[in-house]
Amino acid sequence: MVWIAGQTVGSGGTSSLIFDNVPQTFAHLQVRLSVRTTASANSDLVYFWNAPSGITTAQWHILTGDGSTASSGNGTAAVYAGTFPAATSTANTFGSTIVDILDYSSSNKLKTFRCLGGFDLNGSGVAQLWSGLWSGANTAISSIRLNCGTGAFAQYTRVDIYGITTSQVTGA
Amino acid sequence: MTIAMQPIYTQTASGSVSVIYFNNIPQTFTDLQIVISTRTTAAVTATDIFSQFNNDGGNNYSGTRLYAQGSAASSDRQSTTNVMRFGDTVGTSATANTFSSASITIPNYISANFKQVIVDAVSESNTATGYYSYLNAMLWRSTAAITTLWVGALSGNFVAGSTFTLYGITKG
Repeated sequence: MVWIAGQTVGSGGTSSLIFDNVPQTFAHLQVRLSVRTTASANSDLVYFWNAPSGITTAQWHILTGDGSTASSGNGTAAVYAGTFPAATSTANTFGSTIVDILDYSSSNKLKTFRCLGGFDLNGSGVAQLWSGLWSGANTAISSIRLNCGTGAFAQYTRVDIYGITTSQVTGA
Repeated sequence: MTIAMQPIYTQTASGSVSVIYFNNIPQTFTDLQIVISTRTTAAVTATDIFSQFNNDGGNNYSGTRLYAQGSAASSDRQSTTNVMRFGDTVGTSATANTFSSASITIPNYISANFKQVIVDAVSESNTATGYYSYLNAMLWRSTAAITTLWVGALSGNFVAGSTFTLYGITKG
């Protein structure tokens, strides 16, 4: 598992996090998110936006628990990375999610995003397993772009992308 | 630099394959992780994926699942079974070129205690209800170190392009 790139959001926030030129030399990609948004709500969605191109041709599903009820849901036209604390959430809380995209460079597979994450706010919170299918094309993923549903990424939000190999690597 | 997640072996189905074996698993790591991207020849939307450790065919496996399919989230349990349930994999009734995505983690696989296994797995299809999401906690009631394992599907064979990678996790 090799770190490819990472971004930490500075003061003032940012509306999008963009990772272009993702190398095609790994077997799998993993995106690790520690996110808070500026939306005026208790939580905000984060979704993969405009990269890969046409990712709005998509299907998503969720398995979620909120501390008392387990439920599921689905929709189209987006692939989500999860929901995250927002402006009215407990101060200094960030949600955590790990997104795995297996065989991201394959030209034979539609890409499935598997997202495991959640957050707790000392009295509320969610645990979630999201799946997303980019059904538009079999093409390799060369860009990762993340957007918030309504707000912007808050300061200290951090997103890192890792490449996962299937052959031995040597540490030095 | 210590590489914390090292690929031990990768197998890619080049044709229709019924069972994938990992033998002679090194005893030098702290945890194991299996990452699989699968589709089967079964004429169903999805079918179960099973495993056995050390070819133990006794009723020494059990598991608790939180899962979603269609519009419902549910939880169930299997006790005293002769296989471990890893989730499921899409079949030929799922959208063409979709592959299931799963991560199976086996902490302390060489310990002399029983082995707990955790799974997060998703099977996407480009439909509202033709999907499955799983969070599984499972137990192998054996004090033996895991030296071999196999992965198979309840129905059908794994199609070409299905990938199975066994990783060793080190503590540095």
